[in-house]
Formats: sequence, structure tokens, C-alpha cells
Amino acid sequence: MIQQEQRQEEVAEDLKQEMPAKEVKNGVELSNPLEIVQRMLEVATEELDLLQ
Amino acid sequence: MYEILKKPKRILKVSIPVRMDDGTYREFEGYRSQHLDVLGPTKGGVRFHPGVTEDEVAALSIWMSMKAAILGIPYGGGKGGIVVNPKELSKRELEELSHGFIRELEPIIGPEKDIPAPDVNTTPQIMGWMIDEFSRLKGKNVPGTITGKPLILGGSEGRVEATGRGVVFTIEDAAKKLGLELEGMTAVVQGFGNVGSITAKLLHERGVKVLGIVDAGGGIYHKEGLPIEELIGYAQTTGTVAGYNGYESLSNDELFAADVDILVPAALENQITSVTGPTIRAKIVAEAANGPTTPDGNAAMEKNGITVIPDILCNAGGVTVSYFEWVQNTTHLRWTEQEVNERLHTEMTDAFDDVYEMQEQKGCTMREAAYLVAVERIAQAMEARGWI
Repeated sequence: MIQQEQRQEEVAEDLKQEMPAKEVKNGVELSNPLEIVQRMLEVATEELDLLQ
Repeated sequence: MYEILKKPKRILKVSIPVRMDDGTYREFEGYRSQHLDVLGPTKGGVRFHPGVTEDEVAALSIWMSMKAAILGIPYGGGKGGIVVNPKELSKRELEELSHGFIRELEPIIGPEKDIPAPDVNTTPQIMGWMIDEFSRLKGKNVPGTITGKPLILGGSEGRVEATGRGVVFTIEDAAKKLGLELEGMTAVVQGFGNVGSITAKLLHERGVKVLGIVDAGGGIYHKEGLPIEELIGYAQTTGTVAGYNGYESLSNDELFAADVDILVPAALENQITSVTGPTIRAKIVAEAANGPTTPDGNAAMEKNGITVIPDILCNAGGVTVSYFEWVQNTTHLRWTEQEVNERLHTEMTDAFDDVYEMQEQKGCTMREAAYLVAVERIAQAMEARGWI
């Protein structure tokens, strides 16, 4: 069980590292375009029940 | 399905050596991303810009897949770019860079594989150099490999104006849905390159008063409306609209907050943000650029009930006429400009209606509806191939 939790944490950390960093310009947080389009795709596939 | 869609199936990173005019060599980094070929060969522009990154071309290639699917065009999404400021290169250096890029891409491009086209800072002339290199490598003419070529090399009538023209068709459609007459409306445009200037020109021709324009060199405002034809000539000479005829200057922030009916962001990404988004007073925002809006900017517009024509629908006129060019090249036919424009009008309006209908059906935003239309069509193709 502890091993499983540790593995989940490692996966979460890997995912975090894969996420593009947000760029800040003149105090405004800009978005990585890849992050935006992936979010939109996730929402669309979820809505169409095609997430898997 | 999300797992298949979320990343391009292939990204090629290349290094292109160029002998500079002073005799030294410089290496330029370039990318080509191919997102998905379930609907057909991948297709998308090549940009020359110092800000090009792997993530950016990956995102842009996914957007291209969405655009093609929304328009019902048999393509997947592709995109390429070279990290370079083309204004710092001589014509000869630029030509060598363009040839070198195609030499590196040759194994993965072609009329049935992946079809590059113009994008930010790339022109029909650059496409001419690229098709020349590809044809030399293949030992035969392969015009369908590159679109956006000069007319004499198999380019299509209407291709140069296609993206801006498509933007205006979608603005007309949005105005119609809102029960508004385009004639007499007011607009501001951010960016005065190919897309911004053509959009401004066509809006002006339809009786819209374009009150303000901002480009990389500055901005101008004239409450009676700007003389767009003259301004295009002026900007071609000076490189910017700034300073034209002593008109009042206009900042980016002022442009977004302008009291107008139509706002057209036609520059780069990340322009409508948590800062500029809440200030927008326009009724219609037509995203002529790719990715001009951040999620915070989008939320602000949504909250204020602004009709947003999302980028993947709004600026799809370019890929549509690129498709027409490819069809003409592969069938050895030539269409007139009128024929191209009429077909483009039909395609854009049909796509707008499909997205609008989805929005009504799902009770979502136009942006979400555009993704739903695209993903649904891609899913149908994946299912037909047995992928899902």
C-alpha cells in the first residue's frame, strides 16, 4: 500500500515536470499553447464520452 | 482517444547550417510537427520567428488538425518553424535557409504525407524556394508538396487573401446570428501583416469603419475610420502603421478597450489575457491569430457575453484555400479567383453553422463547440479505421 502511494506520488511528480511552466510577462501569467489545446481536447473528449 | 490526440505523432528537430554573407556559418534550429494523419496527410505552415519552440509547433499542429476537421478537409495537422528573425538575414541567406530546411524534411513530407505552407514571416517566394528544393531532390516536379506557392509555380488564386477573407466571412456570419448589419459597424485590428491588413481591407469594403490598428511598431486611431488602402501602402514602405498622417497614436491596451463592435486580434499568441480581457467592449471578437486568448482572457470575455469566433474556426480560410491549391495541383486544373472565393465562402459558412449548431445543442461556448465538432469528426475517422 505504501509502495503504491509512493508510486502514485512519483507519477504525479513526473506529470508535474511534464507540464509546461507558465511564463509571466509584465505581471500577466501567459499560457503555454500546448497546455491550452490539451485542456480543450480533454474537455471535448470528456463531453463526447471519448476520454479513454 | 485523448491519449492519441494530446501529442503529435511525430516531431522532427533539425539543425540547418547556413553560410552567411560574411563567410561565417550559422546553425539554425527548426522543427516539423505532424499531429495526426487519421483524416489524411498532415498539413500546416512553416513560421520563421525567433520565438519558435517545440511546444509551440506541437500546439499549432494540433490546432491544424482541429481546423481541418471543422472544415471537413481531408487533412491532419502539421506545423513547422525555424528559430530565426528573417529580417536579420539577407535574401540569399534566407534562400539558403529555406532550401536547407526542406533538405532535412524531405523524408517526411510530400503530397500524400505532409504539406507545408506559409505562416508567420514566410511568403510565396519562400514557398517557391522550398518547392524548388523538394522537386530537385525528387528529380521531378511535385507541386502538391507545398501550398501558398507563387501563381506561376502552381499557386492558387486567392491564397494570399484567404485567411483574412475567411475571417471576414465568419464575422459576417456572427453578425447575422446577432441580428446586426455589418455596414456601419466599427472595428479595431491588432496586427497589420497579411491577415490583419486583408481583414481590415475587406471589412472596410463592407462598410465597416476600422477606427484603430496596432502593429509591432505602434498604433494609430482615427474616429472617422482609417483609409485602409492608403495605410497598406504606407505600412509596406515604413514597416508600420505608426505615424500615418499624424493620426492619434493608439497603444495595445487602448486597442483592446476601444469602444467598437468588432475586435480582431491578428498578431501572435497570448494577447487577450487577465489584464486585457476584462476591458474588451466589442460585441464580436474574431480570433484571426492562432491562440490569441489565454484561459483567463477567455473567461473574462465569456463573463461579459462577448461573441467569440474561436481561432480554429476563424482563421481556417488559409488551410481551406491551401487545400484548394493542393486539389488543383493534383488534378492539374486551375480555378478562377471568383471560384476560389465562392468555394471558400461556402466552406466557411457551413463550418460556422456546424459550430453554432453544436453550441446551441450543448449550451456551451463557441470555442468548446468548435473543439466538439472537430473531435467528433476525428473520432468517427478513428472508429472507421478501428483505432478506437
